[in-house]
Amino acid sequence: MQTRVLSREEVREVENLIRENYGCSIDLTRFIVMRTKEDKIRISSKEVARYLNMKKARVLTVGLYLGKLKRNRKIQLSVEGAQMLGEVATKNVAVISPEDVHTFLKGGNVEPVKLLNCEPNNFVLVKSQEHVLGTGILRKGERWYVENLLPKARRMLW
Amino acid sequence: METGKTLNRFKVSSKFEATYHEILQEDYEKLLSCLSVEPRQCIRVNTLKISCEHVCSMLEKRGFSLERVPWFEHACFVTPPNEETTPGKTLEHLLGYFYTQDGSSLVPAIALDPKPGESVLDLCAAPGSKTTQIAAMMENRGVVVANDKSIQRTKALRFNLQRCGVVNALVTSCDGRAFWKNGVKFDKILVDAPCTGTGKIIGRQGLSVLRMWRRFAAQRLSRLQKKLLDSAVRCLDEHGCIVYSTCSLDPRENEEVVDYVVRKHGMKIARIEIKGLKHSRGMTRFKNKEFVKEMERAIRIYPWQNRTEGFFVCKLVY
Repeated sequence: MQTRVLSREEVREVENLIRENYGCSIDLTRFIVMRTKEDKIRISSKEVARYLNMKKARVLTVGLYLGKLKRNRKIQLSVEGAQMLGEVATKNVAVISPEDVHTFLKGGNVEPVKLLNCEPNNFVLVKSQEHVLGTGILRKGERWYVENLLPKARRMLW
Repeated sequence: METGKTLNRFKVSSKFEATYHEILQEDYEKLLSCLSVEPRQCIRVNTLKISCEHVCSMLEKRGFSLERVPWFEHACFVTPPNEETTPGKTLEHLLGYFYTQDGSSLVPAIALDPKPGESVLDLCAAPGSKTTQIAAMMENRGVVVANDKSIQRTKALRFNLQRCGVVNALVTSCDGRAFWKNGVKFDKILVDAPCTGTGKIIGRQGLSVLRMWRRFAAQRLSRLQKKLLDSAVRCLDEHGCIVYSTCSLDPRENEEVVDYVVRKHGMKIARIEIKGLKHSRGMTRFKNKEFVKEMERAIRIYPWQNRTEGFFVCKLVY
């Protein structure tokens, strides 16, 4: 696994990116923060460091996939990353109706019922009632809609 | 092929019948009767994401009836409102609020009793039910090294760790028999070894276990299990403990394996106290073989005792 452990300054930069995009602060300094060659950010507990360089075992993944760094200082959060920020995010949050939850979880685009400080064409957290469902991109067609970014493996197949 | 008793138009092989008659004696009929009883569906709430009460109220609103598992506070037996609905087909499952896991498979991690901040090795981790349970019990603190030999099987493991929001896990792929060569030590180790799975002879799945059963598989697996447990002992910190478990009822895969390691490394078998779980003691002899006396401290869970899958669990300390 080709990952690089980020320095304290780089971790601060990720925290700033999250603050800029989702209007909330998260303390990542209690984790080891790593960046993969695909620009994915992973976080893990600090105790993991002792086991990163084992001689015989192939390390496949470390910790939790938080999100992916994108161009223009954007960050696309994973479902779990979105759930971590879900309660505290004050920006780029799209709320969908309970009736649209199934459509979103099946991979469809949905129209939000409420937008919280959203920027067009930016990533948004998708919420419904108390659930944080994942992420999408806010697009403008005839009306505002959330383009679905739920990974196929996390979709509802029934 | 010689055949024994006929069940649902399926003929139990006479070799299976002879082997398990010898193991279970008068309880053999109870095992076969389990084929007509479905195991109780069980969910373990992922406390890394949500509280048990919250999930219970969500599922109750969907028409599920729930009953707390007496031996694990964060797990419930669930009865779906109809045949089409299963806990795995709910929004709550998709969002990682709970994990569907058999009631008896909760026991190895309970016996291991991992604490926040400790280092834990799960030697045969895929697909991750016990690893995610361990991570939840550790409150995402410390480290869980989740190893599996098969890279293919680690895909499910990695998916489940992500879905459950586990931060303190490291997934490795290495032959468990050679894991000790990494030269790292752990406070606690779980060896949930590959096995013939005869504890799963309950409900519809039981017939496929019987179909897959091969006469010499237990002996072949026993050799592998001894090497895995031997490797685990070498990775253990001197104050640590190992839990060895299988979902097999065959003593060659259970007591014989533990007996081998106890004698070779001078380890002791610790008593496992689990309230509310019906179980039997480990066997101290099988055929003409005597196992160490302490083997009665190991626990055997039979499918008919709790309407769950069968399991063997043993805790080893120095």
